[in-house]
Amino acid sequence: MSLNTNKQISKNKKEKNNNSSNIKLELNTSNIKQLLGNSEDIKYREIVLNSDKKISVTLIYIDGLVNSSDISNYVIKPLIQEECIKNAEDSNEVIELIKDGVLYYSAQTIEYDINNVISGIMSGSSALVFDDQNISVVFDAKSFDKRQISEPTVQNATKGAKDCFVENYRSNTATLRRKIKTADLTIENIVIGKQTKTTVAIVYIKSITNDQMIREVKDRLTHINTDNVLSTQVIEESLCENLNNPFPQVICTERPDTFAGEVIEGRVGVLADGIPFGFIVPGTMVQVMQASEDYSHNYMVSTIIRITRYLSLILALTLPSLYIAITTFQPEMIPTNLALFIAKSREGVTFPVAFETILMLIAFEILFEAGQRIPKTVGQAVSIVGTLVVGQAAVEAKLISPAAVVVIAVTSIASFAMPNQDFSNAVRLWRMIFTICSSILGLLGIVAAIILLVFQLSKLETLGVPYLSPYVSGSEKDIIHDTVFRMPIKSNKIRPPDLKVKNVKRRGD
Amino acid sequence: MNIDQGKISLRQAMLLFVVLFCAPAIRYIPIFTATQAKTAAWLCPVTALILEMVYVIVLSKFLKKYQDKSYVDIIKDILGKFFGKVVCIMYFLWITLLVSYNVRMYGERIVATAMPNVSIIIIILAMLLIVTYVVREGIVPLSRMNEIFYIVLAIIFILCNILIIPNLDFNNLFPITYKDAFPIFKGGLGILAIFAYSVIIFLFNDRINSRDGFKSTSIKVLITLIIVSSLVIIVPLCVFGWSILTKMPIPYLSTMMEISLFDFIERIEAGIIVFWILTDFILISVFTYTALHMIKVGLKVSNTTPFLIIYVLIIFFLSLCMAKSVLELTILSERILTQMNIVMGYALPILIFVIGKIRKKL
Repeated sequence: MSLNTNKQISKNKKEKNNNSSNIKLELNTSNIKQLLGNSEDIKYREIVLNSDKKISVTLIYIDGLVNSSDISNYVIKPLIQEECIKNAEDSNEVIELIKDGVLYYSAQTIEYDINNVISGIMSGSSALVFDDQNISVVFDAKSFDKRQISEPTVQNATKGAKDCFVENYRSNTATLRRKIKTADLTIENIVIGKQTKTTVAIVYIKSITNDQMIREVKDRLTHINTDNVLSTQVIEESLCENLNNPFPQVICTERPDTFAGEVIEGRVGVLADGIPFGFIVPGTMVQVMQASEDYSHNYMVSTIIRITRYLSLILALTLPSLYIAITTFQPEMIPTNLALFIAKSREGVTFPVAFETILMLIAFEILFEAGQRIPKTVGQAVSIVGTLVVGQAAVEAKLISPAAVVVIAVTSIASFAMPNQDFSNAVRLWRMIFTICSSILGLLGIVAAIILLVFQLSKLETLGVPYLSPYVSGSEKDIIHDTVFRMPIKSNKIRPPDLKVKNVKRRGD
Repeated sequence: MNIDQGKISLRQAMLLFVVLFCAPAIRYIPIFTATQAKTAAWLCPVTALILEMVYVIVLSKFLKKYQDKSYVDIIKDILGKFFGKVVCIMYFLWITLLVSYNVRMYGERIVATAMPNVSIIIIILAMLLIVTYVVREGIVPLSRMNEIFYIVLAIIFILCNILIIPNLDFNNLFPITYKDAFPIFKGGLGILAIFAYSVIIFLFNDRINSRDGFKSTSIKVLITLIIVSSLVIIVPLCVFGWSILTKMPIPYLSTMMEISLFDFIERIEAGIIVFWILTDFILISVFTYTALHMIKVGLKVSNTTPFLIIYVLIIFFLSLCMAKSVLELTILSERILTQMNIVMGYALPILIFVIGKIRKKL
């Protein structure tokens, strides 16, 4: 009985919901007021255009989101002062005059749907509502406080562009347009987030990017079912295929030049309003190991820098585990003098090497986390206390050996040599796995960890492109051109084959 | 958006074969060829190359007729259902024996060189656990892993051979006389026995995407492998001479122990063993995958995970029971596996080819 009643109630609710979404309200001020509620920042201003004929309109906008002076000078003033409007017979004539350009404001659209008008007002437009005609003229007069385009804070470059993405996505698309002037650059918008109604732009070059890839990105983004798009992970997780892997499958960049370069390469870019980063799919390991500055240096210098970066990756990943394996399991691998030096430095240290190294790694992680959270003014003091004072005291108290301090310090510095912070974080996680494996099985444990890591990376694919591409499934030529090595730009004639682009040639010839 | 549909490219398949070849080649080829041909051992790869070229032609004929079919289907089509099944079972048993042998050999080598105090059971279990975890995902991640390991192995192999140059005495490669012709041929058979592993790649032929340019790619791979096997023979032969070489358990590794960098970095063999484990891992994984693929095609099952666990358990026990010591393992390899490899890898495919021609299936 109760089950049936519940079913009936839920059925009625469903019907009610369907009906409410299907009913289209008339476009007039009272309905808009009803939908927008009584918020103080929403302003309704009634303007009488012609006192004789009693033609009146209502201007609706959100205070703080529109440019008041623009609205006053280019919308209200001509509406009241223009002779032709004064002489208009009815509101229909006024609309026709506005269509013909009596108002000086260029960014205007005629709307017949109340939902479009509401979403326009919520995004910062002003709506001029003609109640008797159920028509509204929407003026795009957005103006709100926004951060100026400044220098990148994370992905710095000494010899490269100094601009970065900001929270305002229109500024970002404009920056991008300034860098890519081809008419083929396409920016498609979709709105995500039930509450935030965030505009998300899909960016690609229609003559280059694979259509299937574009469709897939659109499909994944439109299927996001969330309340808000306030953080990067909402976008990233929807574009990722394997969430159980810490390595970044979507490349997140704050640099418009990097973003533009990847879009021109044939990848799909995503920009979201309110997020000062651009997302690029499909992401590969080669991308995260490259910096935009690589193309600003001589190719030989860039190659050496890249090799150094890969060496840093190996060091950041394996140095603590190698230290444990060599000192505990295979001491014969290192020269006798070095072995004696390490043994001497460990004299009196109570903890075993494995425990000491893991302890130091945890201490480093705590310092790193604290460094990111504490205010800048006290940050330096904490670093000094954390690293120098505590470190020195721990060595003197024989809690840790100087060799372990050196190993962890080198590892930490090496992990900061990687250009992508997300990748660096994944390496930090895997470093711990490597360390634990080597603590149990020595070199064999490291090999096991290497196999597991390479397996995880080999399994990874985004939009059909292997994460390790072009090292896997690419030819020798692809590997040599722009990976660990950077050949001269003129020899780089072909786009990455794994992207299955429409136009494989990078140059016009 | 899966583009490769669980299949690998011809290049990836060939690279798998290169790495499959390297692990046993380093262990087995120098001793076998030096025992047979003494100072002329370094010429043995040439005989192997000629014989392997003939085999490539036979394989390409198979591939021309049976584009997307696995070797199991080809055998059944040519020999008929009953004899086809018998031959497939023979192949399955051969692969099982090879995996078990290689698993045990890997365990023995680690115990002898890097971890003398650790039980071989733990070492074998660690490997089989990882193999089970990886093989479960199919051939695509495995072949991608192999591509990465291949780059690392190639760099290490080249570096080691460069660093050992000061220790080489080329007088150990001579004299050579016309009387060495037959021993060279016999030594070449040893190399051929490892080349026989190419038939294992052929067993999952249906998982290879496109076979365009099979002949040219095969010849490139063959030449690469001949260079590898020549270096594997020449380097220990030059350093120790043939008489000492034949008495060493793993001569190539012993040669690497002679490397000294700036009189500071010495005894790098433990590091080399690390990378040797990687080749062993690829070999054991590919063999296990092949056996599973045969089960999948033979029994027409879609999910092979339960079979994988059972198969790995069989391998574990078989590897421990197949020999009491390394000496017994070596005898098993020399007296049974070498001959078996040649029969299963060469004689049988050529016989099937001839029957196929007679029955006008090819």
